[in-house]
Amino acid sequence: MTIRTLFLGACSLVALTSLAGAETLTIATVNNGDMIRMQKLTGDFTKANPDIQLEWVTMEENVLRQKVTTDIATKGGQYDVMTIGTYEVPIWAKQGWLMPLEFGADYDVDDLLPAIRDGLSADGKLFAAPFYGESSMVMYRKDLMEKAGLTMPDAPTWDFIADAAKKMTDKDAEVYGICLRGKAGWGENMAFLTAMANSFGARWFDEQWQPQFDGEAWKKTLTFYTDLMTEAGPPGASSNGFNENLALFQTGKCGMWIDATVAASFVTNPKESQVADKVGFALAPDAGLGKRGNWLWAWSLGIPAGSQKVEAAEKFIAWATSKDYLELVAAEEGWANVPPGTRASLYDNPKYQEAAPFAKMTLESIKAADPTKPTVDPVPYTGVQFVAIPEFQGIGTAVGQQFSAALAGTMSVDQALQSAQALTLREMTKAGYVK
Amino acid sequence: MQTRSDYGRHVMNSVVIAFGSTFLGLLIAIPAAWSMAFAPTKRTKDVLMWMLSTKMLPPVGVLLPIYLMFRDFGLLDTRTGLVVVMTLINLPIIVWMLYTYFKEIPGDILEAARMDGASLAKEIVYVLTPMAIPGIASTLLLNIIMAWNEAFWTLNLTAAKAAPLTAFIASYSSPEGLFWAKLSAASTLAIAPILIIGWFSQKQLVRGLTFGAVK
Repeated sequence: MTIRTLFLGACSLVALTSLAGAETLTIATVNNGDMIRMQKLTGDFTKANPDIQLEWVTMEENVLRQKVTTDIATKGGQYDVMTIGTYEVPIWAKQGWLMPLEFGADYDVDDLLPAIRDGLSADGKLFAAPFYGESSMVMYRKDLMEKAGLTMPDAPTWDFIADAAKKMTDKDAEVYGICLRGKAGWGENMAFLTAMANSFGARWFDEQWQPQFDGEAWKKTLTFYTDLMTEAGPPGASSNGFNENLALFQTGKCGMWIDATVAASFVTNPKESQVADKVGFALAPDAGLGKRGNWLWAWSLGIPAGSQKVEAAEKFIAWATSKDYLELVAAEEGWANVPPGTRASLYDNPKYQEAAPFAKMTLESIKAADPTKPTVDPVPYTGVQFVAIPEFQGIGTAVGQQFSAALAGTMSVDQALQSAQALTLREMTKAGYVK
Repeated sequence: MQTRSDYGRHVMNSVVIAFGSTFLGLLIAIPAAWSMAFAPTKRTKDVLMWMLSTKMLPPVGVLLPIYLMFRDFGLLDTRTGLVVVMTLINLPIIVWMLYTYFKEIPGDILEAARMDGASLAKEIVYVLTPMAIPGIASTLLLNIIMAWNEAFWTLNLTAAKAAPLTAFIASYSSPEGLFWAKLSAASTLAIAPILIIGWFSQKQLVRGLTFGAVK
């Protein structure tokens, strides 16, 4: 046996030993630009932590939700890090399905935006670390607004929006004053309508969990929405979701669009949008009752309880949601591509402010949302555009179908509300909330 | 695309799951279809109907028990687990198709083989199978395509290691943002292998599907 053979053998052994010692984290994540970017940049993490390997499972939002919920509820143990939203965190934390997160001083947990941090905490403990946060705001065409002889205020009212939408509409030129979500689903039209209803003084439930669709506030909300969309919305709006409205806005067919703040980077990107240089931003409208019609969402990273790799998972989450990660993205992809909406320090950074013209409005929108007190009147639940109870996905989608039908004109506003009230009451009674 | 997903691993998983479940299914279904076609009992029709009825149950209805069983047997995110589940799902269709093809073969030929001293195994392997090759081939191809395209179980029972091409495509669909180019590229890559197999075997497939149609 030569020395060379011995040396090669020793090298192989060392390599095998190090591989055997490496821990593999399986990370379930949602397919959006920011998450894919993180996947691309993980070399930075594995270089600093050679004993940790990463396996990625990237999924469309609904598929991901179904998979991780099945896994965590049955303690399947397939994932070590899960990407979850502000809807899941309070419910799962209450069930004891998530590990509380504790980071060192250098993580600077106090730098996290309070609204986002509150949405991801239960009993004062943080159960998921925010990767990126979003709210909703008004995106509007500055040229069309000027043509209509109006100036968009930073904080418009619903009446102003309705007036502007009607004046901007030119149906012959296929320009519609306003584009809003109409496609049925708890995360589609109901995200928008629940947030809008909050600003009109409506709420899903009173403090005894009685559904409130038979109240005046909901009637006002739905009537305003359907009237506005009938007069100034695009045809077939009842099947429009985020992607459909994005395409309409980017091709110059919408005067205003109220939707996720994350859309700001798409509509101002000249490679994708025909109206990139004509877009202005404003806060979501209010009705003078002290609440705005904007939502709050954060895609966050959490560790399922019972995970065997908590330490490694915590290391990864600390890396992905740290200030250093924001610097890394800025260095590799530019400041405009940094995941927004999680850290206050990002919005103090002049380089970010310069690269992202929508930064100020995004921050203001996030600050304007309070997941712990989402409505004018008190409610027994948390969540701005959703109710953080397990039953909400089913109920929200069923109610969304009624409201989508009201928008399509196949049922009246009154019928839709009656039907929503009946089905919500039935489901809440069945689930034991209503005695 | 390769920087984001391990395409090779997804293809390999799809190949193992689709071919593995098909061959395992045929191994069970050929003797079963033989007995139903050539040695029927008065309950054969009922058994066939019962097998077909299992296809009428919405898969999500049995997701949880199967998921729990997989968890307990350590089969989550394994190719073995998926081969087993895909075999069981497609077995009724395989048995039904083979039963229909076998019924077209005259029983006298098998009887003649038996008279010449052929054992049951020899009768199936050397007499029945060669005569039913077009039927078996088309069943095989159809089943490979069904297993290749199956998205419910392959998405729900896998995570990273055993995820086939259906999971690869799902990872490119997004409700926030229009990524048509990436999604189209992923779809093309996902259907390419099965398209090539289908192209080379279309003659067999057509022959098999029309087998016995004209007497």
